[in-house]
Amino acid sequence: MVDWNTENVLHLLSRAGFGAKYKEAASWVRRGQALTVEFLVSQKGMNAKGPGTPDADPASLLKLQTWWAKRMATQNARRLQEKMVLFWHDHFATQYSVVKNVRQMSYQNRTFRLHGLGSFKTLVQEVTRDAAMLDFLDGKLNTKNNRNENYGREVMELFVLGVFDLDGNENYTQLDVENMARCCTGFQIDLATDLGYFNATRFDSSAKTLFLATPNEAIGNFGFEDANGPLPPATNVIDVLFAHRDSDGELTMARYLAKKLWEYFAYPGPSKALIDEIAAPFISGGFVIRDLLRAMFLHDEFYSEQAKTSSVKNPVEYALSAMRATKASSNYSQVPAMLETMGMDLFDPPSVNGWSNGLSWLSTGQFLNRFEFAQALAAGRDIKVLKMKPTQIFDDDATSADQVVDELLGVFGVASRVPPGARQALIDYLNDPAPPVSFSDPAVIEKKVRGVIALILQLPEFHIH
Amino acid sequence: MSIRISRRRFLTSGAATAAALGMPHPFQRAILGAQTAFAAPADAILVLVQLEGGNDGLNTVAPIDNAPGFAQRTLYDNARPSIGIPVADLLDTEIGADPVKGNRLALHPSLAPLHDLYTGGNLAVVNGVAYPNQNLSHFRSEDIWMSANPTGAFANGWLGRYLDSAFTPSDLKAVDFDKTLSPAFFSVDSNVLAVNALSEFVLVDDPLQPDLAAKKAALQAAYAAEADPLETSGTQNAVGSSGSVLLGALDDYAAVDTTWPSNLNNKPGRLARRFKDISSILRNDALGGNPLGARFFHIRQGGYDTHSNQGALAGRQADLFTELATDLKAFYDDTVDLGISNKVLVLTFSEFGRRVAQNGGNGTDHGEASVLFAMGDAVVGGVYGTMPALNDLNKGNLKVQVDFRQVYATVIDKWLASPGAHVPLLPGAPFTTLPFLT
Repeated sequence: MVDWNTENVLHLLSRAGFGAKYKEAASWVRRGQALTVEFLVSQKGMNAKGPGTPDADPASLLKLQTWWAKRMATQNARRLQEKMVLFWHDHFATQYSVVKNVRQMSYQNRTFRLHGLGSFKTLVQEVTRDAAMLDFLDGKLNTKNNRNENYGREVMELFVLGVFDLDGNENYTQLDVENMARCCTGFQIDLATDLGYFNATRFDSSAKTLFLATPNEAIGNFGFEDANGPLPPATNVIDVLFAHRDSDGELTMARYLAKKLWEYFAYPGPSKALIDEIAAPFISGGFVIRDLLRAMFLHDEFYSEQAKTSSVKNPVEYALSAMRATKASSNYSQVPAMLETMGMDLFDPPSVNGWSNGLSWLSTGQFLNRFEFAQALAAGRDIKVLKMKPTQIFDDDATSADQVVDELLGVFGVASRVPPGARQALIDYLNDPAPPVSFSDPAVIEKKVRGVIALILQLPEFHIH
Repeated sequence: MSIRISRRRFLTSGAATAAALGMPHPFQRAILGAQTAFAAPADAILVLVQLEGGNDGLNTVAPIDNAPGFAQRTLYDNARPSIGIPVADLLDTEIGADPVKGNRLALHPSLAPLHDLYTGGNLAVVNGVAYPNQNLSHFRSEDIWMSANPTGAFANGWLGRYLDSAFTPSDLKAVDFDKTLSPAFFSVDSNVLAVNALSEFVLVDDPLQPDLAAKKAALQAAYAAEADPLETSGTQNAVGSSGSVLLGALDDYAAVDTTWPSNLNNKPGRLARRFKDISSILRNDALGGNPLGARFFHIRQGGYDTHSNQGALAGRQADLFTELATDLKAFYDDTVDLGISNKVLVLTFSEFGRRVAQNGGNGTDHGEASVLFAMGDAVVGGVYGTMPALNDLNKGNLKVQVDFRQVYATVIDKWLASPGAHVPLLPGAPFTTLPFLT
């Protein structure tokens, strides 16, 4: 067990949520690791509807984006649940710019909230009949007489298996794509309700083969649903997918999802042994997502130096962690546009592969856009945009620039990692053109303290977790 | 940004060696004895245009008629009852006959602006291009095109390897106009700017309490420390280094004039804006301004994954082609106006082509071989490769006729460097080059 201290709490809250509020860590330290983790993972699904206006008006998309951004920024007990909604939006990536239907996007978002910590089988089932997904990957056009391979390919490549197993062997062939597409036939969208439904007359009910010539060989009349709902195990193609095994005999899906979650929440390139370790309770418990998350957050490796320093925050994590740390407020109406500028347009990921994570978040342009956000937040004086009061997060009795800088670096949780040269640059900034006489002087606070907060938010250490 | 591992050099770089030997630039083929009609300029410029999603090559260049042994038009009509382009609509954009099969070919009618370039001898059409053993996954296929490595891991990109070989890490030779850096530029230690638009090169300030000069100085000092390997390591150092490079380039790029009469000025859309930004950078250097030195560019047009409503004369592909061809032509015209059309090579590519037979959605599923274009005054216009035989398909897909690395080898050997230079840069080399460059 790791020492359950402030540093480890801040790390968990940065990954399993959107950062810590000012001086929030202490109560989680007192609660202890096991109870903290259990509290976060045990939240049950929630049928939060969102603003969900039933049309394709771009103005209502903004309402939906604003509603979700505020939810991510302000939920406390359900912070991991919202983080998982964001993860699933990235995993089952669906683009509003293609779907062009706000209500369908909002229903999909609700599905991620309802099932995002629960059964992965249920989640795959729900996503397969999800109206936005049926539109985005052409499932609505895929019928027994007119096959369309779009969803059948991606459900294997991106959603459940991956192209290769951990040893680099291909998980499926083009023949499997064609047969999986046949398994996915029969779904349509009811435009009156914006819900997906199964239409048995369009379903290809003939026998299919999947994963032939491997230990995974399966032949049967597979599909997702019939007129009575999800098909039972003997014929449900999700069971065939989930039973697919890597060339060394381990379950492909469990490893694929465990690796993806570890890379999202901890660091890239985990060892096979670690993947199998965290996947074990997920497998034994019948593929319940919270079992996998719990195993991750209780694992000592999750609190390693590598896990704390190897990942670049995505724009939502960056912006919302900055807002939480500074006790900022907002009506959130302009936050979606800021996120879009930084590369994360909510409800419109760049492709079905989701966003590119890692260092690619900090390409030249994204850097400059994050600098702009940092400056906008530090200069925030308007609740309709962003509002932040420096006096709420620093002690204006401070007598030197060193003291102010060290205190603020602590507030942002980066004190131990900022290199001496960068710390000195911040001190020199506060002392330019001359050391302030008093840090309680509003003129000093409004210009230099706000300025140094902007600079701290621009340092590499605040982009990394 | 670069991926820092260890520095490797595949080629000797430039001017110092040449000067020491009293020779002209070592990349010029004359040194190695090649007889050339058109020597690539020492400061050759390359613009990669990625058609993302898998462009349907068979409606990019369509058959007009059959050839002996190859009923290309008849089979095309059979496979594409509602998305095939009628012969009558192809006559205005006819290009040269298939070099191997001999039947007549034409560009999609929405590519008409490119037909003007073809007629002028400044467009090469390469048919049947793909990588071997097609996977049909967008993302796997893009990785392969970017890395030029159809097997194994994708640590860096083909252009990144070239940059590593030809320049020192402090040189800033490439700009990717995109939100994230294309894997084509992933490198050991070459720095590449990736930016949405030139207009993003700006540091903002607190409008009520302006203090920009002091903040900028502090940021530069802080990032100098963050980039120092004695002060930071790992991801922290990678972020510090890339921020430091950015802060160093900021003022130069912010100073680029974008308010000049470009042929792209009245063109709508993101693609046109990005072409215009490239034109503006090239213009800055062509006019003798403070030289930026950027010569390698990548831009991307998305939307080619036409599983539905691909259409024929009208539809998603036609709309994309209208934008693409209009913008390519305007960009070419800019290079003519700037007097650099002999220095600029534009190369299009897409991760794969599409199925020959249309699907149930008036579209096409993922396929294999496709078509790419090379554009510029240095290009030897014409049709290269061959349209794959429609009576000899691979699971319904067009078989590869030209390995994509042959195209890269042609660009490296004949445009960027010298004969044989591609060998250490492209896995599986050597490759036979194509005659669309001399």
